[in-house]
Amino acid sequence: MSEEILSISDLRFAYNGTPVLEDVSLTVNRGNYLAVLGPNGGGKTTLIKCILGLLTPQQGSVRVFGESPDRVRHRIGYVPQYATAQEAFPICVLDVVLMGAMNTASTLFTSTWRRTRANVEKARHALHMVGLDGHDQDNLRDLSGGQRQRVIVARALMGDPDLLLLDEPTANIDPQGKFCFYEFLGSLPGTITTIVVSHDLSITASPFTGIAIVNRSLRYAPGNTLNEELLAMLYGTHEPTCPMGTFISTVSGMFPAIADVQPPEMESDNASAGREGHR
Amino acid sequence: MPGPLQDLMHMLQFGFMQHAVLAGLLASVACGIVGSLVVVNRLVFLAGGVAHAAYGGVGLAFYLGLPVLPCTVGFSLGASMLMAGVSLRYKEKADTAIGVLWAAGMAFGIILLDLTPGYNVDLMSFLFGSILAVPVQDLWLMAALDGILILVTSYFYPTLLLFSFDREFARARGLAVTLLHCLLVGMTALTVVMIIRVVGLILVIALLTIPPFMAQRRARSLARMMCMAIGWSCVFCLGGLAISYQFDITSGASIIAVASACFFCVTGLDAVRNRLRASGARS
Repeated sequence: MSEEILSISDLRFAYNGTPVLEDVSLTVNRGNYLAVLGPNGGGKTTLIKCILGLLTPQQGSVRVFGESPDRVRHRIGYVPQYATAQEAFPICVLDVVLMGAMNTASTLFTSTWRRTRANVEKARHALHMVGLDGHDQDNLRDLSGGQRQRVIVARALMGDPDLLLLDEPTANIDPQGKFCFYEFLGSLPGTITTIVVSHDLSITASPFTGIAIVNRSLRYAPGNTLNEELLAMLYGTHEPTCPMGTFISTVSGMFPAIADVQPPEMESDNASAGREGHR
Repeated sequence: MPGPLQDLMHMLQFGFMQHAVLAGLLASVACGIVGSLVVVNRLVFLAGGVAHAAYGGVGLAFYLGLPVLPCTVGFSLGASMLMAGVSLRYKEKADTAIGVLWAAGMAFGIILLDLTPGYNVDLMSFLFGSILAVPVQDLWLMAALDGILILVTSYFYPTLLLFSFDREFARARGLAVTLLHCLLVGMTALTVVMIIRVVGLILVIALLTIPPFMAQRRARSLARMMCMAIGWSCVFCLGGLAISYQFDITSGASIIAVASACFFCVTGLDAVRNRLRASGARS
């Protein structure tokens, strides 16, 4: 059951010579729910794009399902950042989900996206999985931010993904909805591996099985924990008198079990840890 | 028969008026389709840039003594591809670059026309067109353009929809996003140039933006938005022509006046309705 879904080793990526990611190594197994946290500009989206094969790292390798990413892209369900920015777009929920069934071996002239009965059935099932039964004929713009984001996840589920990749999925959802959304991700079937990127700490309240902090380098910690060291990497080190320093010690105090027991993987700077925790 | 209807019948007895009505309807089809795509992809500014830069092509044609239409089409396609490339590559500076090309194309055209001996093209007819003097040949050209646009849009509809709705996702699904962007900008350039000749630059921009905006409020799909935009556009053209005939005012301007009046009425009504609904929810 510890099939390797994603393995990244010694990845380095630079935009015009400015390194964004350095010495990044990471392994994710089937069924994991990985939270990727990091400050803005820390390289989270770049990492996602490398996993999708939209960007090619200058150094190191990315293997998804043991192959190069652009060959297995159709097995990755991708939920892009700001997917809901098109607020007024005239489209109904069912049509959005059906987009996920687009033929993946597509060029401009051969791509198809047929409204077959099987696809519609499947789209209804995907909507059921995200808890939006009966909304299929609704206009997308009439839904709330959280519901809209679920529609986008349902679209990603149309491709029967083995790996679900979400980039800042809660950017447009109110604080209350965020927790529900992360809970919902945790409740997806255990065969789907989920990687969620966020700079939003509310994700730490959801049942993830591992956490990675990305800030030019990547640090991985297994388990459902967030400790002071990881927080320092997220927000920088602060004097105790600084409000941020107080915040960090308070938040890490909320997870006492972790603060006491340092996972051994944390010794090395860029841990590529295998993990036991399955959903 | 009531007075206004009688006037309308009287108006349609003139050949030039029949041509004007047909030109308006044909332009509506092209503008409804392309305008909807332009509006949902937020390319209105780019469309404006292409339309103005087209004047450079007009100037070049007169200066070099080339046939006007092919020369303008070529020039505009070139300018539009340049804008498309810039807007893809330097996203943050896209509006500035388009603004520069917009002004440069127009100035280039005016200078070349100044340098052309013996001929002085009227800038006003480029800006406002002459819908009352449309030759039959141009009507056929517009009908052909409509046919091409309908074919291309229905063939690429799924891809255009995915591309317009969520470009990042389209890219992740392996769609040729850059190619689609160029196709869309090319379609816009072609439409704008073909229709400028008939109805003028300002009317093209108005027909590209106002009907799709009105349609977007209610439409449940991109295809329906296109159809509704065509409908609104036809209403504006016919209404504007009738008013221009009745009161003897410039036809292009009166079409835009009708469209703008509808635009402000509808947005005003929407605002009032939203406020009423908000206060109703509060009480």
